[in-house]
Amino acid sequence: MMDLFKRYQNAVGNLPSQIKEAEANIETIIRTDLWVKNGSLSRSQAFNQTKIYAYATVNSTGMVYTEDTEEDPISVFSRAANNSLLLSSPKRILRDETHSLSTEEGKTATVDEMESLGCLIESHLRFFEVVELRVSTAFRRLQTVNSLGLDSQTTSSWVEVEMEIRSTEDSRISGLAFSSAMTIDGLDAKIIAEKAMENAKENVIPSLSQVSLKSGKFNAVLSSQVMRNIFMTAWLEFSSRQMEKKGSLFKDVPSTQVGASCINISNVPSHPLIGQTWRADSAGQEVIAQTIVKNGLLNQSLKTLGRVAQMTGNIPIELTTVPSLFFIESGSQTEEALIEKMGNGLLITYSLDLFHSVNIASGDFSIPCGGFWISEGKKFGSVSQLTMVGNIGSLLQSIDSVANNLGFDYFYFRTYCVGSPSVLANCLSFSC
Amino acid sequence: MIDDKRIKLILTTAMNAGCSFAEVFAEDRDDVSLDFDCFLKSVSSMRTYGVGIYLFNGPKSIYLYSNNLDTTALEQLVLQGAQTLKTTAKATDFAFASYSPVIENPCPVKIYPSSCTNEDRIALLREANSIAREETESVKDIDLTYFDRDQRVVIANSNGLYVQDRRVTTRIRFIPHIQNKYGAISTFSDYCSPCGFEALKDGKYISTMQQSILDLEASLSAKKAPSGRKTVIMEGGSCTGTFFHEACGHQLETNALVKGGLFWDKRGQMVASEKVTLVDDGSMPYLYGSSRFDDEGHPRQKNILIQNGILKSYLVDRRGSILLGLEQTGSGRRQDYAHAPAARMSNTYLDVGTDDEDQMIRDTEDGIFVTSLGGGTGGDEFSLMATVAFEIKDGQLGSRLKGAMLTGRGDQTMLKIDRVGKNMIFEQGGGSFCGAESGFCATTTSGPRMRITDMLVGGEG
Repeated sequence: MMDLFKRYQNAVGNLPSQIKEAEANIETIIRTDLWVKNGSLSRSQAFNQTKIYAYATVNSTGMVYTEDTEEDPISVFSRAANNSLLLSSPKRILRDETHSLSTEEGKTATVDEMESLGCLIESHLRFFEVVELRVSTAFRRLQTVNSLGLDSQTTSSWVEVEMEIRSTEDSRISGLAFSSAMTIDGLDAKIIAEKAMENAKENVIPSLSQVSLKSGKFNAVLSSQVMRNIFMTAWLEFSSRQMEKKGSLFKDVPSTQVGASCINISNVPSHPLIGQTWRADSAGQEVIAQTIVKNGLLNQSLKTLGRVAQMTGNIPIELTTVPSLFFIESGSQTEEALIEKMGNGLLITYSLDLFHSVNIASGDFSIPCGGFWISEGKKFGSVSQLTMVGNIGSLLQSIDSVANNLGFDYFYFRTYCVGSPSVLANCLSFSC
Repeated sequence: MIDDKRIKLILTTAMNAGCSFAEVFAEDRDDVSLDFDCFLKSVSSMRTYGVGIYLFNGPKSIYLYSNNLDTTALEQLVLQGAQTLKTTAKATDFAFASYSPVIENPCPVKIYPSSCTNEDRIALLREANSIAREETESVKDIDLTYFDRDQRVVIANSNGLYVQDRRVTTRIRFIPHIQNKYGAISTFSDYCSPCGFEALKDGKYISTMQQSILDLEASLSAKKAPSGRKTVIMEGGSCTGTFFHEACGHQLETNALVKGGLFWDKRGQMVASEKVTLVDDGSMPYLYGSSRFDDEGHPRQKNILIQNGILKSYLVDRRGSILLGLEQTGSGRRQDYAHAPAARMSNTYLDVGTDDEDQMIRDTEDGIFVTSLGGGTGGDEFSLMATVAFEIKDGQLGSRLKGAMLTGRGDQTMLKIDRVGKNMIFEQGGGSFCGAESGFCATTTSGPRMRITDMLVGGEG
């Protein structure tokens, strides 16, 4: 059978007369995940999946999603056209831009290379054992063609490692590490193992006793991980769609003060810390690097189009504003320098409940969290079961300084990444 | 749906390649969704169509999936999988489709999505839209989305199992945008049903929608929740059930046990107050987490997890069964063929106790009464966001509270349950989605009212 994309390219040039315009977004992901433990593979996963999002305009635009790659594209567009007939609004979502985009980046790894890397990482662990160690390689291709002349194809291949370890001497001590690169040669087994061991050492020091705090306002260093957890959903405050429907704390007015002057936020198609690239958005448009916040002032709202994973398992059909690599830019100081600068206060190293703790419309949050009490710049005792309460706007305004330890996390199904370094914030409310 | 010839080919190829076990999960699913906000904004049809293949070589496993259903491509995929597993055993014979258990559908369907017209769906959304906008002046807007799903699956394995199942669900999502002098707020709530369009024709979803609007409106003027350790009373229904879902449910799934979770090796030990009997049952009629079979073809069953405070059993899928030597419990679930199955909860409920519900409040000096939870997370520590709560002072209900985050450790908090009510409240018409390693699965959480003597409440007041 003819190549799938070719069939859709042919179809948009031979549409039935009632269909005025049509577009297909085709996403193919081929991926292999290996879990390595005790020097060998413990389980694995491999897939090859193609998703077709088809749009057809009669007066309005209707859509169909299908994973049936054998269905005739004209039949798919006709079903989308039928869906459009029910719509009363003259809504049209296809873009007029005529261009052709073609990029190809990265290289996948073989199963043998991945297994060797996993075993090598494990061999570098000292006094720690693997709880879970995943090595993955993936290829993602986005193809878009429409009847207005848009024809784009971008591919990105990458390799990544995610691991959780625990101490062989004290099972309460555990650490995490994530690393990603465009090719397997970009990943250093020793550095990844050291990163996980370093993280474990930072997270739990059992010799410190639990400190009981009274609810109140404290200065706090929020770790890179905690900031990423917050902005995994809080990026929506900067979404143009969200602002448009007044569902955000902020208005889309450039130069509005949205944070302290040390805050700079960007959305980019690629970053050296992540192997995957997003050269085109889900509608085939080139992703342009955007400065969202510059020195605390809103520069422009986030505009990249994508489909965000649904927290219900439903197919994410709606094209909406979704970031690619959204991150708070690094500052110049180390996290240790921020802790020292704070003197007395909290170091928050973990937070729970990524998806229910921030209300985007009001910006209010209640975030379960924990970490350490810092006295005179040193860890004095551990704290747990705290709730950090406040508002995203006030949190951004309260940031005194930003560390240089930028890290990234993927959102579900790898639809986008969110990054942040640790920050020092003044006067945050904690209930204990 | 992929034909039996290709299913048999997949299993034969796997067993010939030396796998110790092979399973096929073939899925053909149609979803329809309509967005409405004063007018119909979009109509979308979605077809999920592919096959998941689970191969084992002793305790090692690989999960493969694809929607390229070409015979050669499938054969190639299986051989690559077997190669990754480094299978060396001799080919083993198996009898394809030698047994097919007959189980009655706990959620019979009257009106299938295919016999429901878009005009029917639009009429329902129009009705909901006008009722919502009349509820209170604070409703500035409401986004409504209608969803229905018709999932057909075939599950076959190298033990000769062959089952077909058809699962239909219908759901309506309300996102009211409330604004008044106290501020603005919007959040979603769902009315879910494990059957067809008939579930929405009786109009019961309307009271769920109206309540969610009134709750949101009231939350704007509510008092900030206090912080500190309090006595917490969980209202019967989803509040009680969700507490257990997050406080211990995930820790009783084999994925947590394989990593050495909180409750591994604690069967026979007291893990909760003796008032606690906790059940997970995916076979219950007309509940959102029910179906005839789990996603590994095992009949759904009633699992007593905790009885009078003693840990009795776990939730076990096939992989967990192989790794931990436990019997499968009909709990292997997945979002779709693109997810390997994992042990998951279904309809989780606290069994009834003997305590008087009203007396619980009268006997509470200083506490909070939680009547709605907006979700939470589980793990060694759990958190629950109380979206509707009231203060209790000297045995009397007081002001409404907002922003109450409840946190704790499951193994400690479950020992502090001192009252369990007599009246069971099942989450009929309710239900939600639990997200974990095997994707988002439909669940319900239920139980009678209960009291926890000491719990950490995180608020700003």
